[in-house]
Amino acid sequence: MQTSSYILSLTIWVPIVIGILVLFLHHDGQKNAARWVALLGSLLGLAVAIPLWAGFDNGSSAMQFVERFVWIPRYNIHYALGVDGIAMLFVLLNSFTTVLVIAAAWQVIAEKVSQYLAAFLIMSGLINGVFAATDAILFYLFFEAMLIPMFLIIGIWGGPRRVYAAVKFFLYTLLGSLLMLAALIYLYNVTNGSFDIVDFQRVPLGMTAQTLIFLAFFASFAVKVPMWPVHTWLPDAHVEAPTGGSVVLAAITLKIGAYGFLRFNLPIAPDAAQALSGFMIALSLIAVIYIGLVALAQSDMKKLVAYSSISHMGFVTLGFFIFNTQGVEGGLVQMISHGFISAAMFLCIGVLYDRVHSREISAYGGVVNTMPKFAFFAVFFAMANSGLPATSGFVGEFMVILGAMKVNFWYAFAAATTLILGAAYTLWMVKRVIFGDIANDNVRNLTDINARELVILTALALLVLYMGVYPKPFTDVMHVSVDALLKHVALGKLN
Amino acid sequence: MKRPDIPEAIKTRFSFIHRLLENKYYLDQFNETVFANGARKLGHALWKFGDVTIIDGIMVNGTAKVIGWSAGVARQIQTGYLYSYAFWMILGVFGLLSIVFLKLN
Repeated sequence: MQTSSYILSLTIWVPIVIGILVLFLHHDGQKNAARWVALLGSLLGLAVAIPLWAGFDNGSSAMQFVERFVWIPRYNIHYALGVDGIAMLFVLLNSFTTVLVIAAAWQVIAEKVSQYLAAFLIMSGLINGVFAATDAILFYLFFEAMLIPMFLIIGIWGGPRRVYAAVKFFLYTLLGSLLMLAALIYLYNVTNGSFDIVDFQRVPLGMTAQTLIFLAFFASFAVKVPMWPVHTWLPDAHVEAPTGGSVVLAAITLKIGAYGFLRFNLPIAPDAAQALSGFMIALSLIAVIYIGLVALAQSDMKKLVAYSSISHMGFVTLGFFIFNTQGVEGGLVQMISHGFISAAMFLCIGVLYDRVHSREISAYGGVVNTMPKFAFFAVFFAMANSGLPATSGFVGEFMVILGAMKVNFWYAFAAATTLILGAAYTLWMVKRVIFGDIANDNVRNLTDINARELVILTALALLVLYMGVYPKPFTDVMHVSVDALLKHVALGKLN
Repeated sequence: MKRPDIPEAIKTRFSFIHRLLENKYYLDQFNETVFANGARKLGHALWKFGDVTIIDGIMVNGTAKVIGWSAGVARQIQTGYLYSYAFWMILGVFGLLSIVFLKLN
């Protein structure tokens, strides 16, 4: 059993164990206790993840913080964990986001408080498991288990059409991942009985096998990203989900799809990935342009940001499938940046929704007059969402466009339309919601953000700025891992 | 201004140019109607036709509808009445026997 540390196990099990503890605080008088325990638990979850960043060796592309125990010897399944420069950042992002959603739920969620908070803590641990697992079955287990808390969050605390949205979300993702399971079993046979993802990456495969494996993983991850045309579950899920659910969906679970492409599709089926790159790029560009236009037509703020997320994720997959360092790193930077920005956008919408109970753009207007502090943050995050330089939104998009330019001018040209479309739909929404005269009594009676909301939004704003001005610490972490991955893909598996 | 009638005269004589300049070559209107409105209309059409009708209507909910419909047809077979099952069984046995006898001859 080669085990160098227990940090990754802690990042998985601390939130889950505390989540289960929170479940016991379910009596009416214990709501505040549940909130405090959950908040401390999420902070502890973040604290145990910090050593990943502090102790990470940027010079190595190998898995770090490795843990490996035999779990089910008969099928050679291991409890195996480890992170490289690609996965590590997402464990941190997820642990950080969990603190935000727990804090954001403070006064907003009044019913079934302990269950709500527990669902988020447990989901946080499971998602860390997805990013940390290096055994395919363990990955699959976390990947599927993660659906359950999210299903409950949408189905119980969601809006009027929550059951439709929850079932749609569940069926979409489940159907995709069944094909992935088939691919995992095939790979298990080819590798003579191993579920180690590194073995999957090493085993030579013919072109047909690679193509089928690629498509099987594609079915699973494209739904998660989501890529056009399997994206329609996302706007529904976002609209119905409570604020915290939307934040985790946008900031974290979408990233799992993109992460899956880097962890499975590219290294396991590199030749198929190259052969199908045109297809992937086409879908990505459709997402960027088509979905950008669709976002423009939305009258519901959450739906608008949901479509904006799909469009931004199109940028990520575009970056991955142009196979150069700038593209892949740009995609990863975009993923983290979008984690911050989309979380902030949904939190901002949540702030308004908690006060007015409407997501319709037309229900607002002139919010700046009554909520100046909030308006500052809303405009700032809107700018970041449209990719304004000096915000993190710009860095990823710029890198991907640069990378695309090296491959094909027209890819870059089509991708760059997002800078116009993104600005158009985001700023137009901001104009209609924030600026202008006070539209109605609801807006007139608004109260500005409280200290809790101020702290949450400030933390996100600082991160967006920091990453926008100085992204080097982030790219340094991923650089060696991305290089190793690209070399592996370029080498191929056919000979 | 000493002679306000001069600009007035220019305005009337070159009314077309005046109007063109006054309206900034109509570029704002052009942007508003062609690009902004066009993009909004296109976005709306893509959303209603692409997302709502084709993807959600036909592909997603359509699949569910087809399954629901075929299940509705298939469940007609399961009436729960013994005589109906007996009837289909007799019909089946008759069919099988017919095949066997036809083959033998």
